Amino acid sequence: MISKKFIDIKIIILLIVLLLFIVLDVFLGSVNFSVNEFSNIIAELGNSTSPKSIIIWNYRIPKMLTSLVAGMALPLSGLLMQTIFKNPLSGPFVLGISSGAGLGVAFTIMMSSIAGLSLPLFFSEINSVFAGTLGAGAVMILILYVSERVQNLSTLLIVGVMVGSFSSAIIGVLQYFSSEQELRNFIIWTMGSLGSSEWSEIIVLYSILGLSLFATLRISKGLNAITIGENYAHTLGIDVKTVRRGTLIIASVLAGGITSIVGPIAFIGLAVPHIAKSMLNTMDHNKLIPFTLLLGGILMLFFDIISQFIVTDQVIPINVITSLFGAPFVIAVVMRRSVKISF
Amino acid sequence: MVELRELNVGYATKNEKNIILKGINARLEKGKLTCFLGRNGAGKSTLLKTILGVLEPLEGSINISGKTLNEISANERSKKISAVLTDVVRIEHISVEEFVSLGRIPHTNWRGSLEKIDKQHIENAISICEIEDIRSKIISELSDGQLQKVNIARAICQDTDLILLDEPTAHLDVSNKFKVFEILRKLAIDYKKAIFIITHDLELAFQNADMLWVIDKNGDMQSDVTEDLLLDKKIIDSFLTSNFEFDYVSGKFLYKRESRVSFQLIGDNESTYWTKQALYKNGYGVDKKSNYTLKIDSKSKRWDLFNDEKELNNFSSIKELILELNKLFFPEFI
Repeated sequence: MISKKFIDIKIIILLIVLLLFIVLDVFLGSVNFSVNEFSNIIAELGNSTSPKSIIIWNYRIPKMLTSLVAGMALPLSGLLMQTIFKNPLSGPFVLGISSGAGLGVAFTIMMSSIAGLSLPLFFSEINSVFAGTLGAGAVMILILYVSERVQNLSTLLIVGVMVGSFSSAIIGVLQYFSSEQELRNFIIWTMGSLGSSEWSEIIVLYSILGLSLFATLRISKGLNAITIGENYAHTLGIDVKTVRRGTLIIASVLAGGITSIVGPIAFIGLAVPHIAKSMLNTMDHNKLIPFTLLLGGILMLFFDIISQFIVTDQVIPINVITSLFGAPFVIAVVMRRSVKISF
Repeated sequence: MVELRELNVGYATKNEKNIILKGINARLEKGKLTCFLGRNGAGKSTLLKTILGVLEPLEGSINISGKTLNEISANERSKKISAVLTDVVRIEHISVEEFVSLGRIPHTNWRGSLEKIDKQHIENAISICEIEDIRSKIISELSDGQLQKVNIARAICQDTDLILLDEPTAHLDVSNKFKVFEILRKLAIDYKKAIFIITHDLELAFQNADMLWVIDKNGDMQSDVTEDLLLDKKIIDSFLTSNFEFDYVSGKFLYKRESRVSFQLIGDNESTYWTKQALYKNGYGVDKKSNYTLKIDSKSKRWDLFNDEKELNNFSSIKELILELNKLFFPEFI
């Protein structure tokens, strides 16, 4: 067991790094600020209407907050899935929950052409969150249904992959019938964007994260028990079914909510819990959760910062960056595991 | 402590009940080590699952300290019964100490914080199982023997009167099997736990169990004091195939090929035992009425073969004995 002190030091270091990245993420961008100018604008708390103040308060701070919430929520969702499915490759993507959210969003963006209706309500972003969560929820119910009937976890993962293919197919049909503008909107959404969210959406996302976090901490003891297997959790007096259902609901709300606003962001949800587990060498969720949140926030802000510097004047879509870093990481994890298994 | 009354266990679907074991009447007592024997598929694990509350009893009742199983909550049950199952628990990122500490889950608050008393239980479990030296190792790096001791420590940590173990010695080498049974005996005798073990290691069970529960050939369960059941002799038949026989003196099973020639053995216990083993392996039998006699003198290492009263040959090792017997009785195979 790692000493408490050791963990405390790591948490403090991560907190400092996170704060640094928060400031850097707001400070850096295509428009340069002097340090003085920057601190003045921050101190004004958005009460000024100068163009630079608007850049900071209406563009960069919302983007930073969106990156932060996505970086915390997706890994939390991934951590929960990895525990429930006892599979290190579980994440919002693998189980098709992000695909479900994508399908929901695709409907809100492209449905009007097909229905031949103009539904202005559908284009409000909050409805998109709703549709995304609904789509994620629908997939979650399917996964839940399968998971309570099939013991084999690989079956569940295959179902997740199939849901992904199925969603892509439906989205393909929608794209075929939708207008150029709608198609463009949807493609932009799939690339992932942290910078286009409204304050109202940010509030929704943080509320989702806060509630999910509260709920997760309530069941953390059950999650700890489930890490050694559901049968053992049962002998430890844990109501496995309730914990599993609760966890799946939390995981899909987190993944669905985030995905519908910022687009599908790959690998963060899968990779960050791994890094946290390797750093701490523990499966105690009371310790893993704060680490996952901090690491996820730091990593996402880091990706957001570098996405603005790879090509000058152009912002690289965030999903491109996370995939560039994430895909090799996943291959490394798989290789490491298969080597272990084969011996 | 635990009493099974007229219990039928099995699997129930909406329309039908599939009874696997029926009419079970048995008790588990504190301070006693009970082994549960029976062939694969006889229903041992089904009964275990029923006692653990995974399956509902189809009929009859299970009483734990005077209360029936469905009267107590899951949390209360987990303070009375712990289990070591056959499920694989090779997890990465979890240390032995953390793994053992999971046994405290039924006793801790909603966050699972470990108090002083919990830590004492963890230390105690670690010392009973003698796993101090591997306490900071990661679970996925342990050997089978170490893993089983760690898993037993986790169950001990749960501080229950009854510990159920499903094949705890499967896949273990001989010294680890002995170690596991030693720990379990210690728990029964020194800590007054009721220990209930499903096992296929019959000889270890006969040596260590105070009580046996045995599912016989007809699928009926009998339970009694180990030695009483063994002296009854019928029960062993459930486990024998035609090529094995049970030696009631040593408590061991002997492999026996179909024998065409049998010998009467005369000598001290040790040398007759091993001579018998060698004869069985090589297709010879042992029969008190045989015309052939082998007299063994273990001090001078000499085996004398007689036919009635006439000495045929003598040998100075089992190797030579078997070689010459083969020449004598099966020359066509040499």
